Amino acid sequence: MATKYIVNNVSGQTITGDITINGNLVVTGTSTSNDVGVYRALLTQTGSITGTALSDFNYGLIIGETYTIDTYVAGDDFSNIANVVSGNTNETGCEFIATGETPINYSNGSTLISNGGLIVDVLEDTLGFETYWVQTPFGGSGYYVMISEYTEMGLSNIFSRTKTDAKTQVTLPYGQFSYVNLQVSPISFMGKDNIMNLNVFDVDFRESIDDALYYTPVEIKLNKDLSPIIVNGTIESSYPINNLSMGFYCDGNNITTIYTDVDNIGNVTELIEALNNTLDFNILGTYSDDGNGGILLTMTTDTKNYFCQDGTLTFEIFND
Amino acid sequence: MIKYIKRISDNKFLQSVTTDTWVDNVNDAFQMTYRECEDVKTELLNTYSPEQIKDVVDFKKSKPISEEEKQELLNLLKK
Repeated sequence: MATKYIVNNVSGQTITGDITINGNLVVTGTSTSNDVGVYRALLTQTGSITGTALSDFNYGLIIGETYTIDTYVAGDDFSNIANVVSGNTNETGCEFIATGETPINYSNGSTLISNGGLIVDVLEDTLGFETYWVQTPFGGSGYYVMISEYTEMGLSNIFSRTKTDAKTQVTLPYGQFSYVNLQVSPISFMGKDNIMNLNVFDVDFRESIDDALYYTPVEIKLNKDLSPIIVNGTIESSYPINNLSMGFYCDGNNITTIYTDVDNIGNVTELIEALNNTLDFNILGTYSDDGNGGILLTMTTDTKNYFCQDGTLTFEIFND
Repeated sequence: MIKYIKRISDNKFLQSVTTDTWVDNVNDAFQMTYRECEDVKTELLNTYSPEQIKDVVDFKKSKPISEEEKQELLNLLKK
């Protein structure tokens, strides 16, 4: 076996081949894998809590939570953990976001009221695309959906059921709750496997309930396929192109259309430049000239599957 | 995604808004799209207070929806 050397303090080094480590490995930065995207977060959504001492808040304010000082009592001091949104620190009516758990002094009985909305503390995120959580966007209760930027485009298979390993567990929530069951999984919402859903189910009352998340861990592991795929596109309008738009087709069926207000594209060189520099387009991959009057889009297999899992993906560029 | 409407007082589900029929078994209840549910809720609020009814979301089932409703739902998701 050939000897491999790593030069200290030189970045960008690559070892092609296997490494065997017979001892421990300590990583002081982040460790990423091209094959698996990982998302870990703690979700808290307690509903509004009112208290006059730290013990009323489970001995710690919730970092990221918004609190209002309903009645301030002299001597209490929240200044070390308060990012003030409105009013003045240590005064009645002050609204602040907690940046820490323990105020300098909270022994005099000031009344704090928490907002109680959803707080997401992301511990790790290597999924490779933007995501965010929304509480009960369609009404009802007891569910939280994780949206990706591709979901917003109406695409599918972002959290493919065959590649997604999602886990959560019940934490001891603040307050009095019945037995709660948590489920987190990809669900199909107007498209296959395009959002993640965290469902909170009250086993005793047999219904979904709000306000029962307290630093609830959610871990999502997503097997990735980043191998490049080249997709062929045609230009359906003559130059100059205004309101640059792009329609995507899976086996000839329209999947989605992206509209922009990019104007004055005079030739194929300017078109390639516009496609590669416009966020709505370059999120999908890299564009190039096919030399025959068409456009090539090099995208990952995963991204291609968001549009068209088992068929042929094509696109058309046009002047809207 | 489909939605049901539940009556809080007796835990019954809406089957027909025109005849004001409520049933025990959710499988017999009126399965609505988001837009249908919003319209039915508006009608029910002529009879019931908001505290007397609640909507239930079921992600396991779905009904065909229009492009307009699809866009409406996507807009609800956006921050």
